[in-house]
Amino acid sequence: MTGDTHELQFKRSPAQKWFMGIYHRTSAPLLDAQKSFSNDSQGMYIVGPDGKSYGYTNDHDPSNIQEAMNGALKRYHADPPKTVEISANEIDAPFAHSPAPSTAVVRVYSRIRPVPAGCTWLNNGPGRDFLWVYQDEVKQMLCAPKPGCAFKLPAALALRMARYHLMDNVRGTPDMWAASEVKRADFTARITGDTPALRTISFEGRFEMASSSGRRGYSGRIEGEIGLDPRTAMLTRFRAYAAGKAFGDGTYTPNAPKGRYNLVVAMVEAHDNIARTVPPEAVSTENRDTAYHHPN
Amino acid sequence: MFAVSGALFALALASLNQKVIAQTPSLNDRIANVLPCAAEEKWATAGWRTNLMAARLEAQKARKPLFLWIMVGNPQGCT
Repeated sequence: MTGDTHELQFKRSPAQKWFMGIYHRTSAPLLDAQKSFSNDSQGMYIVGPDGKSYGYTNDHDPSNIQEAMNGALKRYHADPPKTVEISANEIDAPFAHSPAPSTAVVRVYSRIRPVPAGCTWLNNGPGRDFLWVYQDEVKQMLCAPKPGCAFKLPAALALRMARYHLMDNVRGTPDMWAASEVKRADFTARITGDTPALRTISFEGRFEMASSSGRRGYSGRIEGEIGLDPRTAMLTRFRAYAAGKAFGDGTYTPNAPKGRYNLVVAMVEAHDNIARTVPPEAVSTENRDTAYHHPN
Repeated sequence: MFAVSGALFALALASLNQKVIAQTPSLNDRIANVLPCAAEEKWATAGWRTNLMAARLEAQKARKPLFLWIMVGNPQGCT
């Protein structure tokens, strides 16, 4: 089971109440250290369905996780949990800010390519997030001019992509760009195909973001293809690729490569259960999507 | 002489252009180059649940403990 502290620690729900009981009852060296200087509840908990705590770790080394699991399993068998009632109301209570049925979801991945020599291994993996595209933006693109004519991608969509998704989130939770830190997000689109069942659009443009401190930035070029179903006003396809130069550490993402480095971002439409449940980081953090939907 | 060499030059240029076009990765190729590889997605095949209360009930029926991975940002969606 995976969860988000924004939902399980700060949002009122049966799941939050139950999880916070576990957090307060669990005592382990790493968690006790976290509790001593903040209310950080992150980590891996091994518990019974009755809320009994059997183990905890916040060490991401696989062998240490395995050791924690083995110890917890022994304690579980030595002192099994009590049978408890878990009601349908508890199960059905909303716990995540999930997308509306009319909102399209796009998976976003970022990578440092190539990873400069001498960097920490934390720069080797992909960054992950979700982009939401709202139906009012799909309708704007369906009202766009005739095939071949250029038009701008909906302003809110372009700014959302720039503020929340064109960034280095490779090493963890990034600092999102403020609207004032987006210096350029100029994405021009053209209709490349038009039938009663499918409108296809290609887009390209340049972007430039720089933190007000001047310590972080990312600038480059993006291109992509979008498929829309005019009959339902639903987005069916979204593919995009951005490449550019980034620089600087984030508050919680130190150890970026020195100087300017290559950062690429890929976006691909997603329809699976995880994509339809887990919100974008920016929505999760705010526990609402008002600013995310209208990012200016 | 000039006509022959001009034609050869044009042919060579056309051939070069074709090679350049053939070697330019498509949008899908560039996207594929960013997506996680199978080894990077192995952790995601564990069958992670997202509904804590439903997972509790499932664990109780299966007589197994729950493994909760809780982070700032759901590990299945955010970094």
